[in-house]
Amino acid sequence: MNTTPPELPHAQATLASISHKLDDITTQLAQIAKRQSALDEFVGELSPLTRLAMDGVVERLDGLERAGYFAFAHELGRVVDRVVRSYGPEDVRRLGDQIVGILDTVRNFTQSDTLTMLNEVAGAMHEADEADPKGMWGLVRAGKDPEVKKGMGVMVALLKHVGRAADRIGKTPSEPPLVRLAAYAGAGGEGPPAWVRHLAPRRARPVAAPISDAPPPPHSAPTHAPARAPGAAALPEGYGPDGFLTDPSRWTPELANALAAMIPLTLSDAHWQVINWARSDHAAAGASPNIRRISSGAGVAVRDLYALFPGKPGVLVAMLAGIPKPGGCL
Amino acid sequence: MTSPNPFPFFQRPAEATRRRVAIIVSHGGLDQVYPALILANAARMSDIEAIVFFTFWGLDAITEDKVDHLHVNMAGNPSSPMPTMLAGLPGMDALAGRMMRKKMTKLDIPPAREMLKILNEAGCELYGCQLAMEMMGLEKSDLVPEVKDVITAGDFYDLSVGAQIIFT
Repeated sequence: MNTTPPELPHAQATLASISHKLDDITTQLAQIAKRQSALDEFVGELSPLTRLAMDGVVERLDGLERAGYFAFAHELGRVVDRVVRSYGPEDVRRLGDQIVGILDTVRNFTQSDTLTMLNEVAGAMHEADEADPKGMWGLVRAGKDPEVKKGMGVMVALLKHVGRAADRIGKTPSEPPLVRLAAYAGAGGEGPPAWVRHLAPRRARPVAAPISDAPPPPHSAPTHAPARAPGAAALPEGYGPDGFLTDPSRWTPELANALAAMIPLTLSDAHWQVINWARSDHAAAGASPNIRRISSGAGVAVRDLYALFPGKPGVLVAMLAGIPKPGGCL
Repeated sequence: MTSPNPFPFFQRPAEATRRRVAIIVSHGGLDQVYPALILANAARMSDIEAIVFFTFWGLDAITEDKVDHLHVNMAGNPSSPMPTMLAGLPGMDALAGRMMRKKMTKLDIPPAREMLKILNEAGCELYGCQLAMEMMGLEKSDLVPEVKDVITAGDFYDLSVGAQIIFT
């Protein structure tokens, strides 16, 4: 027989679980308290250590101060300030334009052979006090040494370039200083100035501008047009008193064929190779090539030139190519 | 073909009537050899037949180991910028030759050896003098390959029939 109301066991179970949880909480609290005391202990032990470290840092900073780092940084700040104040945005923009040139210069300076040479020179300066004094005759005697000779050659070459550059810069006084400096560095907005090409070692010799502004003549595909009836009537005006075309841009392949028929000569591919090369060379160099130049340029032996253009090869090539009579003795 | 040809140099004279020159080179200085070589080349370029006869010191210009080092004698030359007293010092002729060669290279004038090659290809015949070669102890093999033959003075006259003779 069970007289207990049905709610009672349920309440008992709830109470039991609550007391369990209370136990847990108590345990956790005890653990926290324990950890806290450990932490306190740790901090207590740490404080003297921290003080020691702080002392070290302060001492270190003091050392830096005494070594002048802060004064240096301060001065550096003033230098930067001064630079910013004296260079406007315009200057900076120009500097940006020249940066490639400046980098080029730096790169040239840092080539290993340049560095080797500079290093060698710097080494000699270290030993400067050991050098014997040299008089007038000593100088002459030293000139016989091959190394001195080589050095003098280098110095003369350097001086030459410096003179050339100075000459160039003296002629353009209107440029502001920064641009002129950058010009030394070998940069320019629209390509380097002409003398920079002289500075660069072993570049192609600058050639004169083409004489005519006309578009380049058709070099390829020679059209073997039927030869016109030879004679004065077949030729356009524009010939100078020496019998050569004065304006190479008026030349046509047909004209060459017509002229060749008067020699008489039938133009083969070998002829055209020479004629087209002579035309392009005249456009590039601004002067009619001589026989030696044609031979090496067009890749035809002198012997073959005499066979292709019998009699007067130099004159005939210029005539057929519509370029001026070649000057010079060769 | 009936209208007149406006270009006189197109009309090539018949072979028998073509001009000829025979040039004698008797000195070996760079400045003495070049005029002859240039003249010969200009002759060929102008459709004039040319032969060049090298004798005495002129043989230097066709001697294999001398043609690249021809000297220039400045001593006694009133056009020389150098005082004769200095120009007579040893090595001055070689120095002057070197300077002149450098200048010629700059002007793109071919060296003597190349001039000989161009002349040979242009159909100009080069001859050495037999007597002078015997005197100098030279053989045909000592000469540059462009030289066609070693001949006597008499042979030279035979070869230069109808030619204008230029002695340099």
